[in-house]
Amino acid sequence: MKKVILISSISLYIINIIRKIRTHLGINTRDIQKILELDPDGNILGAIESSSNSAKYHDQHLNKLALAFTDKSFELGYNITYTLNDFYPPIDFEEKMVEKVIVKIDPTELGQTGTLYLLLVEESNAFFDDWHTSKEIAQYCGSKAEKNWEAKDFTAIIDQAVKKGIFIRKSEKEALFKRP
Amino acid sequence: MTSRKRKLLNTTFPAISFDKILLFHKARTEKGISAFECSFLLGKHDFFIRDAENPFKSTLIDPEDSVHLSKVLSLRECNPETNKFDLYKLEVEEHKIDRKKTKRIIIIKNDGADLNPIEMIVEGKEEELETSLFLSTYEKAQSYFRELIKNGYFDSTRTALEIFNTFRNHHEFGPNFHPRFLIQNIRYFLNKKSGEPILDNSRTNLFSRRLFFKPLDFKIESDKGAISESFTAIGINTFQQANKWVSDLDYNRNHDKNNVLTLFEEQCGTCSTKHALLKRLADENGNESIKLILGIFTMNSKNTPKIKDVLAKYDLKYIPEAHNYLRNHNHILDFTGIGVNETKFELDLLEEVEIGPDQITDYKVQYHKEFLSRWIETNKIPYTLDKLWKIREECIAALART
Repeated sequence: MKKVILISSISLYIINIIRKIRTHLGINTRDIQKILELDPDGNILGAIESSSNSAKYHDQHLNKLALAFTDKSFELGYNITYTLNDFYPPIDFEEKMVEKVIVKIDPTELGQTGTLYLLLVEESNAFFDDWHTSKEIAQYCGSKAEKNWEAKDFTAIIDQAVKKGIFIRKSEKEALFKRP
Repeated sequence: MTSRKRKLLNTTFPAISFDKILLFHKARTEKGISAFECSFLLGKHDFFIRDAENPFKSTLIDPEDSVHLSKVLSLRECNPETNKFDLYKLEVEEHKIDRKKTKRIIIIKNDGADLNPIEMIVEGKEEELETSLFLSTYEKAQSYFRELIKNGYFDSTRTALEIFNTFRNHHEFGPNFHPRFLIQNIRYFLNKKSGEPILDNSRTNLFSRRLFFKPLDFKIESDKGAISESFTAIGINTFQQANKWVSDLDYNRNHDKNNVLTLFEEQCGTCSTKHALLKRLADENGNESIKLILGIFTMNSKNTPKIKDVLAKYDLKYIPEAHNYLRNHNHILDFTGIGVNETKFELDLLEEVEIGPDQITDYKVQYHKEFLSRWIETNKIPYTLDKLWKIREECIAALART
């Protein structure tokens, strides 16, 4: 008996655009808690990106996210500077109450970091339950994103994921990776 | 303008919100749109912008209001640059200029922040700022306003921004039109003492923005039919008087719902018989814009607190309930007389269908039961239709208890 949650079209637009950008940049729940200076064990993102909860972002959140997304973007070499305007809809956007529908992100819209993050963390794709080489990971992500990616495209990204604890490496000698 | 009294105060304010307020303040003062005029077009209370510009108040401009204000001020973007500070430490100097006017000089005291003082005048409600926008005249604005009323523009509810945009889109006023005379005219058409109170502003939309509309009314012609005759016989001569009479009647089930005059005889009614009567009255008098609606809404403990225990007993979050009301153009009219808030009610609506006044009995029950059957199946509700109907009856009984 799911009750439909209605929120403003503007708030929903912001939620979905943040979701898209953070996925593209490989930013997860824990990162968001840290960016927003909230309890590390909390999950504000879970509430905001839930279609059964009316939570939404406000400007103080958006300011912190814009600063953090900019840093991450430069770290990944995308070199995009974000402002709150990047999260807001165009001015002529219609103000109305809409059902809170969180967009499903297609890997074809993403780069390597985003695709790996989407499949590994957001969608908990079963592929990552087993050990794989960088080449296998690159091929699998490429097949989902409809791109021809190679192992070298993923070396740094996998290293980052291991550092963040969302990937584990089998051993020093064996470059095999899976979800922890 | 010499200051007489000076007061120095310190406060903190969310930095990005303060920057946003400055952005809008600059835009509106450059265009010569006063704080009151901005608040009015935003559809909020008269001092909303004045409060937002006051660092000692907690009023913030949220994303919805930001986009709305940007539309009012014809801005392309509604946000300042990002800000490395979370909170600004503000030093505020208040100068009393005269009896009505205060000037604030604000300095951001954070390390590394721009130390240039920011000046803001605290405006009175009727303050008129100098403007380079096109003002037109009060009379010309009124002439077009009357044309809109005559053409049925206000039969639908309108926000102040919608009305402003209608003026801006009109060749006589254009995109650079200043809202001053428009606002003065809206207030004139609301003013019961010294204006022509044609418009109603008692409603707000789901974003708490004030709505303006011309309430439906017509003279009841006694020779138009049995219902018109019954109303005029008890001294009720207009549709609005009839609405009030119906709304004031006790809320009770009627013995014979098929008798179109049952309300006059039993002096009570429910949502179905009350609104069917008003629909028939409108039809008799040739007002076809009024529609009788059967709506299915989520009856829950929030909108109907009296059923809280029944829902808890059967582990239900809500139960889809049928309700009758009227629709005129884009808004709901509810004269059940049990305090239904039409705006909030729309949020709980699951489905609605237009019906005829003779469909308030068997058809209504059938439609409701069919909806419940689909709802049971879709939501895997662990009750049969018969059982759910009994639960619903329990809810109605709980509602009737005082």
